[in-house]
Amino acid sequence: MMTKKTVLHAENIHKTFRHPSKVSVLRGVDLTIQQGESIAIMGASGEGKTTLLNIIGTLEKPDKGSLTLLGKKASPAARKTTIGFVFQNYNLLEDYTTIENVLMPAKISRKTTTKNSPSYKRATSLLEMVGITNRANFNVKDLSGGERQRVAIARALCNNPDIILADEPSGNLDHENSKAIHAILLSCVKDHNKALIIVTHDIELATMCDKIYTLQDGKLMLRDPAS
Amino acid sequence: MFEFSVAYKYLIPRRRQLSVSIITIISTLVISVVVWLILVFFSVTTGLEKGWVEKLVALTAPIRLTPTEEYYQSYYYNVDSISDASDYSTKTIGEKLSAESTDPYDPGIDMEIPPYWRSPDTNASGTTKDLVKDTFSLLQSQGLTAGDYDHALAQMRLRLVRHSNEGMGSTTQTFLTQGCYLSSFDAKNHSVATITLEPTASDLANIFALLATSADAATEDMPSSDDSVSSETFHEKLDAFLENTTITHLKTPPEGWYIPPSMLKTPKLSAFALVDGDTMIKASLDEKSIPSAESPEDLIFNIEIDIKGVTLSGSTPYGELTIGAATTTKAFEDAPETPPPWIYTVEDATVIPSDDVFGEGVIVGKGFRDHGVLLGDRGYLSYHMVTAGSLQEQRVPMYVAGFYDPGIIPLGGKFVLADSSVTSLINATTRVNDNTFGNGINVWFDDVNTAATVKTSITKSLTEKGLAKYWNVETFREYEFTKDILEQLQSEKYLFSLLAIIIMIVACSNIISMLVLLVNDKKKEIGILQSMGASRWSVALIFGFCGIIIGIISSGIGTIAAIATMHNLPAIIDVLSAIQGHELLNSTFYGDTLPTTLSAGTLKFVIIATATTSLLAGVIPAIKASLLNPTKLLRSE
Repeated sequence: MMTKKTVLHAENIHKTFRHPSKVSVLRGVDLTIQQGESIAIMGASGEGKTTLLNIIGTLEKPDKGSLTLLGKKASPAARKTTIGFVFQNYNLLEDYTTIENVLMPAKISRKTTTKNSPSYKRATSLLEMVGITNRANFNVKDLSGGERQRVAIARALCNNPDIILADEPSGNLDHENSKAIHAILLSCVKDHNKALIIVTHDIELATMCDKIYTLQDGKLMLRDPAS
Repeated sequence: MFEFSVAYKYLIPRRRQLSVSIITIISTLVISVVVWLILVFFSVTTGLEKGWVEKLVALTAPIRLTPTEEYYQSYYYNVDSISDASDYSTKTIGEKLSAESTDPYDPGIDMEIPPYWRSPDTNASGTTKDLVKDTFSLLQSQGLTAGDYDHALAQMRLRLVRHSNEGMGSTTQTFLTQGCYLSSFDAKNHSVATITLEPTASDLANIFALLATSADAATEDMPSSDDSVSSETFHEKLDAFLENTTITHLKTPPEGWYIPPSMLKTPKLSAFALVDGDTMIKASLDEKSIPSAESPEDLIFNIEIDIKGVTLSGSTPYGELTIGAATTTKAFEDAPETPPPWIYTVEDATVIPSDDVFGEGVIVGKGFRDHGVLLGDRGYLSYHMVTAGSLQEQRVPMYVAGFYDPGIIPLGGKFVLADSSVTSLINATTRVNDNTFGNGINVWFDDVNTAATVKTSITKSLTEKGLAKYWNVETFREYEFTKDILEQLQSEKYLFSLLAIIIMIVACSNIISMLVLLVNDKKKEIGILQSMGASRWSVALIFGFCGIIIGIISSGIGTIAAIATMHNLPAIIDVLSAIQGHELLNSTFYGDTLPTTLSAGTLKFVIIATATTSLLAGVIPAIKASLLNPTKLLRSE
C-alpha cells in the first residue's frame, strides 16, 4: 500500500487577540492532514475556526506553535503554490472576467497566461470541471452566487495546490448549490488527491469528510463519527 | 507583469469609483499642464540662448586664445623692439605669424639686449620657440581652424544722403557718429554669413541712388551732398551693381506718382493717372538707356501697371521711383570680377568687399538699420595717432556693406567688423598698452557645445609643448563681454528649474491623495491578492506603478501639447501680442525668428523628473497598502 504524504502538520498552535479585549482563541491546536484526506472543522461562532484556517493558510502568524507544509516550515510564499483558498463570500476580483479571476494565481506566480499557455489550458479545464465554461468571459459581477463560488474553487485550484482551505464555502448558497459545491470540493480530494480542510456549520457536508473536528475552548477535538 | 496589469486596471475610470476617477483625471491634467509649461518655457529659452550663442560665436569664435603677461614679457615678443629687421617695433600676432624669422635680433647691428629681459624660451634644439607659429600649428594639428584677430577702438561717422521731397533730384544729408569696437573680419569664420541680414529693397535703392555720388569728400566733416563721380566711374559702378542685381519691381514715392502721359492711351484713364504711394510696379531695365545715363535717375525702365483691371505698359525714367524688389547674387563659386558692394561668399569663405572709390566695406549691427542707416551709406572711421608732438586724427573712408544681428550680447551692436588690414592699421597706431584684449587668436570648430572639451584639449597640448603660460584659453562663456549675461541666463534657468521642480512636486502631490483613496477603495482586493500569494512588495509595486503610469501618461499629454505649441509658437505669440497691444517678445532681443523645436535636454529632464516625482508620490500609499493585514481586509468584508 502506498503511503500518503503529510501535507500539513500543525502543532501546539496558540493565538490570542489583545484588542479590544484579551481573548485566547487557540490554546494548543494540533492537526495533521495527508494527501487525499478531507477534514471538516466545526464549532460555534467566535471559537476561532477562521483564525485557525488563516494561520494554516499563512495569512496570520500564530503566537506560538509550529506549522509545516509538505515537511517545510510554512511561509507566505506557500500561498502561491501549496495552498488554495475558498471563501464564504467568494472574494473574486470584481473588475475581472471569470477566466481572468481563475488565471490570477498563475499571474501572481509569474506564469505565462496567454492563450494556449499551460496555465490558460488548465484554467479552461478547471472551468469545465466546475461547470461554467460558458461563463468564461463574463464579468464575475454578472454571475450568480453558485457560479461565483465555482469560479472561486477553480481559482483556488489554478496553481495545482496541495491543500484547499475552504471557509464556509456554502454559507451563502441555497441547498442545491451547496450540494454541488460540496461535490466539487470532495471530488478534488478523491480525483485529484488534494487535502481539504473545510470550516463549516453544515453537518451534512461535514459528514461527507473523512474526519470531523470540533474547535472548542481553543482546542481541536476529533469528533466521533457516530455522534 | 501582473503588478503592472493590475495597476493599469485600477486606473481605468469607473463609475463605481467616481471620486478616485475624478481625482485621477484632475491629477493627470494638472501634471500635463505643468509638463507642457516647463517644456515650452525651457524649449523657448534654450532655443533663444542657442540663437544668441550662435550669433555671439559667429561674431567672434567659440574659443579664443589671448596672450598673457608672460607673453608680453617674453624675449620672443620684445626682441622686435630692438631689432632693425623688425623696424624696432613689436609685432602683432598676425605679423608674428607671417614673420620670416622667429628671432630677428642681429648682435652685429642691434643694441645690446637689456640684462633685465627674460631669457629666450628655447626648444630642445636650442632655438628660440616661436610662440605664435607653434601655437597655430598645434591648433591645426587638432583639426581646428585658427585665425588671429585685432580689436581696435575707433569713431565711426556715417553720412546719410537721402532724397528729399523738395524737388526732383534734391537730397538731404544727416550724420551719425558712434564710438565702436572694430573687430577684424576673418574669411575663415564661416558663421558670420549666418547672422548677416539680407539686403532690403531700400538698401538696394540706396546703393543704386548713391552710385553717382562722389566719395571724394567722404572724410570731410561737411561734404557737399551734390558732388558727383565721373561718368566713367559711374558706369563702372553701375555695371558692377547690375552684374549682381536684377531689378524686378519699382516702387512709387510715398506721396504718389503720376503715370507718364505717354502711357495713357485712353483719355478716360486720365482720372486715374495718380498712382498711390508705395505701389509696386513690375519693371525691367531698358539696357539701351545705360550708355547715355549720367545718373541712376536717367535710366529707363519698362514698366507694367494694373489700374482698375486695365494693364498699362510703357517706359519711364527711374526718376522719383525707387527699387521695390530685386534679386541679388551673394554666393560665388569663384572670386567675382565685379564683386557686389555687399558681403558675399566665395565657396566657404566670406568676403567683406572693399571699394577703390567708396572705401572699406564694414558690417555693422542691425541697430544701425533701425536708426535709418542703409546699405551703401558712406562715412569714415576716425582714430588718433600719437606722435612726438601731437595727437593727430586719422580717417579711413568706409561704407556699410552689411548688417548683422548681434542677439542680446551687450557689446554686439557696437562691434563693427572690418577687414583685418583696417583693424591692424588702427590697432598698431593707437596701441598704448599692449596687454589689452585687442589681439589674440580665434579658434573655430563646428559644434560650439564641445567648447569646454576643446578648451581642455588645447590647454593640455599647450602644457605639453610648454606654451601654456603664454596663453589664456577662454570659451565663449568666459569672454568678458558675454560672461555676465550667459551666467545670468544660466542663473535664471536654474531658478526656473527650481520653481519647476516645486510646481511638479505640488502637482504630483495630487497623486498621493488619489492613491490613498485608491488604496482605501481596493482594500478587499489587496487582501484577495495576498491570499493568492501576492507579496507585500507586489502590493506596494501595484500602487507605485499607478503613480508612475499617471506620471508617464501626463508627460505624454504634456509633451504632445508642447510640441503642438512649439510648432505654432509664432502664431500664438502674434495672438498674445495682439491681445497685449505690443510685441510680446521684442525682436531686438529675441531675434526675428523664435525657436520651434522641443529641447531634447528639457524633455529628458521633464520625463525623468515626472517619473521620479510620481514614483515618490506613490511610495507612501504603496507602503501603506503593503502593510495592510490580509486577514483584517478579508474579515472586514
